Amino acid sequence: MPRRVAVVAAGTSRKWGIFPGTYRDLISEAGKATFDSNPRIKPADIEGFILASVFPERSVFQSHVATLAAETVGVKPLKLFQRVENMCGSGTIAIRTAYMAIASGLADVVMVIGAEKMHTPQPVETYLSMLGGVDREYEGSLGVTAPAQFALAAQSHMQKYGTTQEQMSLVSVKNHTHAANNPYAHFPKACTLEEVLNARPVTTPFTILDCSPITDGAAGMILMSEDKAWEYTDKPVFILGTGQAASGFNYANVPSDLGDWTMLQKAAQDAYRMAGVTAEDIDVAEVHDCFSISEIIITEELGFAAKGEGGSFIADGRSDYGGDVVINPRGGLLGCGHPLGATGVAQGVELFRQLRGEAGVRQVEDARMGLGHNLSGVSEHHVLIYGRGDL
Amino acid sequence: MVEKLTWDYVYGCDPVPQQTSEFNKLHEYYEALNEGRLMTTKCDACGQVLWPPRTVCPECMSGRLSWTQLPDEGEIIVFTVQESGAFPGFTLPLIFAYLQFGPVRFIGKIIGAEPEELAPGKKVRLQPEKQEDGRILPAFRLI
Repeated sequence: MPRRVAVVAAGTSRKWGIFPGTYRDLISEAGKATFDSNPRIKPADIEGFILASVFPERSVFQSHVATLAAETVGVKPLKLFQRVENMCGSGTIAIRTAYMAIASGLADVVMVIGAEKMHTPQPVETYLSMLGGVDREYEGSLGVTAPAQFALAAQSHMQKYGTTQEQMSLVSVKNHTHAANNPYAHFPKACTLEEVLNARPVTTPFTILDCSPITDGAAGMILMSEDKAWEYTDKPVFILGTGQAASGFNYANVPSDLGDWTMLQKAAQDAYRMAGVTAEDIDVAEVHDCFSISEIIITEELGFAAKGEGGSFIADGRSDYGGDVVINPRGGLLGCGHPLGATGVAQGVELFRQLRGEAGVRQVEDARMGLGHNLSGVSEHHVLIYGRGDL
Repeated sequence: MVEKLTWDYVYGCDPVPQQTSEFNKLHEYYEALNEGRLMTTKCDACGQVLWPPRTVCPECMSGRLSWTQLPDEGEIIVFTVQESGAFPGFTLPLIFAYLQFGPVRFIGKIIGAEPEELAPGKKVRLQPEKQEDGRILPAFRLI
């Protein structure tokens, strides 16, 4: 039997956006915030260290970043250390990897940090890095980056299910409204439906407010085996289930219509089965709204909405406070920004706070079970289910 | 006109695919583009037509593949018109479409069309674009 694994500490860098410092400075901030969240844990307690970071080779001219980061936060990892890179979903994969290490007995205490410095002195670098995040030879070199890819998914969903631009924009309105309550968000400011619809067009059907921004940010988390966890906190948050599935890197090989994310359905079903729960048991979810359409499709594939009804699900307020499930209370990628490697970890930080009742004005009432979802493309998905320690 | 410093940086990073036999076993794909033909590989063992082209068949692991020409006409499944946030050196608006070409589908760049002329189901044909340094990339125009 795998051992139970709990999250016992979590924190983010102070203010996401354009970070006035180096990659090391950014990692330091997230490391300090994580240790500060549970003063009983010291760097010397950490046995394993995992860094999620997507393109430091390009953005800060540095590879070999896992031990750089471990040293930066004072950790001497005597049992395992590694970097995780799988584009936008790297953060959740890092947590999942820490889970595997602890569940298997390889280590008792593992720290995860996600960090991305996306703003560089040479602004064109971000474009180059991002086109390296799709199939560079056959897609990126044509000028295709994430906005065009997800716009094609949006067009497919609109064509097949009648989803409207207005419904997509409501995702942005909700998540920006949530972000206004989150001090570290890149854009902590609510916006109206008219503002989203009339914002600068990016690629049809998206305006700039349908797209997550380019952001520097970092986040950290410490995980422990169950017996250790109770020594360090009275309120551990357990990882109850997880799933992951991919099929199709180049868009040519996506196994379905672009608006049907069958790999997410598979990853979610595995996670629910492992946790012994269903979508109805989830009180709060942090999901990958890299573009407004993404959250609509995600709510369907996770089983919160029926397939094809993600548009009316957001329009009817079912994913907001007072609805079926509160989705993206921290403000999502749309409001917080999307520092690639950091995003999944920051989603976990929010769920940790929500399930401990420590989310302040963002608190989802009596949140008992949470779901984290990250993606690395329309056909690559990573899901984690978290539960309160007293369940 | 892109600022020289920016362009030198992009060119130095060289995001355009390698297209010669020295660096790419699938150089014939680009040689065919130069002759106005859209080719891909077909597995001699299992018959699968693959996109992108391969040197080993991912379906059956055979290393015996042949070049096959895709149909002259493809069809737009869905498309998007990009009006901002383009890569330096690209002219806006950029149009990208998910295209069906015989047994394969992929994202293609549409050139020489007004956005209002486009619709799902419209037919397109290959019209490759030569880069300044002589390298070539696929693009498509409405028929």
